[in-house]
Amino acid sequence: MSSREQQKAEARAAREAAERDAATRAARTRRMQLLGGVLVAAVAIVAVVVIVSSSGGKKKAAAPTAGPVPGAAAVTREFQGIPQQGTVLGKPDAPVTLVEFGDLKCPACQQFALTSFPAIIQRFVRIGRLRVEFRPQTFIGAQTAPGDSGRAAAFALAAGKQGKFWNFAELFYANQQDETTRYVTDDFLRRVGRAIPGLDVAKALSDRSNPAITATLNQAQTSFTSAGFNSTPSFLLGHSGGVLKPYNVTSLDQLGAAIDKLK
Amino acid sequence: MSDARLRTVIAGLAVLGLAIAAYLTYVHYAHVKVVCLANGGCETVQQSAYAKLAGVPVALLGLLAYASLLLSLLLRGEGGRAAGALVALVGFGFSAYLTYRELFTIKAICQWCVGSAVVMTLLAVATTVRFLRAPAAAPASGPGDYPAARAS
Repeated sequence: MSSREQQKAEARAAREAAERDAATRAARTRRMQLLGGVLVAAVAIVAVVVIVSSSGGKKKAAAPTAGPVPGAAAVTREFQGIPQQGTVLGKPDAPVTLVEFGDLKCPACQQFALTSFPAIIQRFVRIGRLRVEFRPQTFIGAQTAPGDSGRAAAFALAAGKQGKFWNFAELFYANQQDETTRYVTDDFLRRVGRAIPGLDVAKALSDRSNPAITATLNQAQTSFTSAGFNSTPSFLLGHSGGVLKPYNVTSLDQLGAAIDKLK
Repeated sequence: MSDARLRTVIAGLAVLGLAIAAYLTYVHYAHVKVVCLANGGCETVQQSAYAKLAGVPVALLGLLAYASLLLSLLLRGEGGRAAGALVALVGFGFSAYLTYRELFTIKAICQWCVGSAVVMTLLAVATTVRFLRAPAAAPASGPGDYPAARAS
């Protein structure tokens, strides 16, 4: 190779190396700029999220304490003429018992109460095929609204002493609010209670401190745990006075078949 | 670390985060008691006002973020890497904010949330490193992740 050709090859190699370096630098610069853009976008999104979250965190419960109580008339009709004794709904000699473990602040329990339970009453309870017992739980919102669930359950049990447990529970569900907020004040309980015909609200408020009510609550929670449940609503089903077993309420037909089998 | 190995690390972390978020989302919607090692800290955090963002459970948002990170791995080129880094950095920032709220506002610690925050932090690092160390785009080899089939 002549000296001239060698010089040309060296010059070409140097030029190509310089072009590679320039391309690498340009790519790095472009990538850093893109990363900067990604960072700016991430910071902006997080800032918006934090603002939204912070404003939500300051939200207070705004339970209405006046005005008509939604669902009051429907609940009165729903339980009209059905025997109630304490937390038990239905004829005492009904052959089959369904036990519901529920929390009055539990949204899933509300859904069951408002969508499935009215049909269960009509189809099985009202005609004496089934009696339903409620065992109140008090763990929903125990940390963010301590005592709220317990206050609701205690008032419901006190209403039960006047034969109005189920009216109160169902009307409470119809007026249930955000589970994380504290809204079960005495004013709220008075307002819901006054919408139940025949319920002496002042007596129910006073009866909440009755040791029997505390004992019933404790028993309900013990039986919930010993049945192996950890969520609400949960159910037991069995022959009245016999052994009750965990049961998953999925459909009216399935429940009807289970009741027929147990009779 | 090669791009393929980074992708594997990111996929593994995202699946771990997805599992945590899926469990917390299940707990939220099924209304079951969250399994917690500490004294009810998880339940406190889960039921706090900060457990939802504009009415949407934060656990569900986490689920979507981890799923998005997995999807970003399927996208080739710089766009996929940038999307992954953006999601992970947003997730990291939000996780840091929620951890601050746990410590100083709610005053309770949820191990699941801390676990998710750690996973998201590692994902932010891994996706950013992957973005910065991506192989240079070359006309003959497409956007970068896979060498193009050589013409014979």
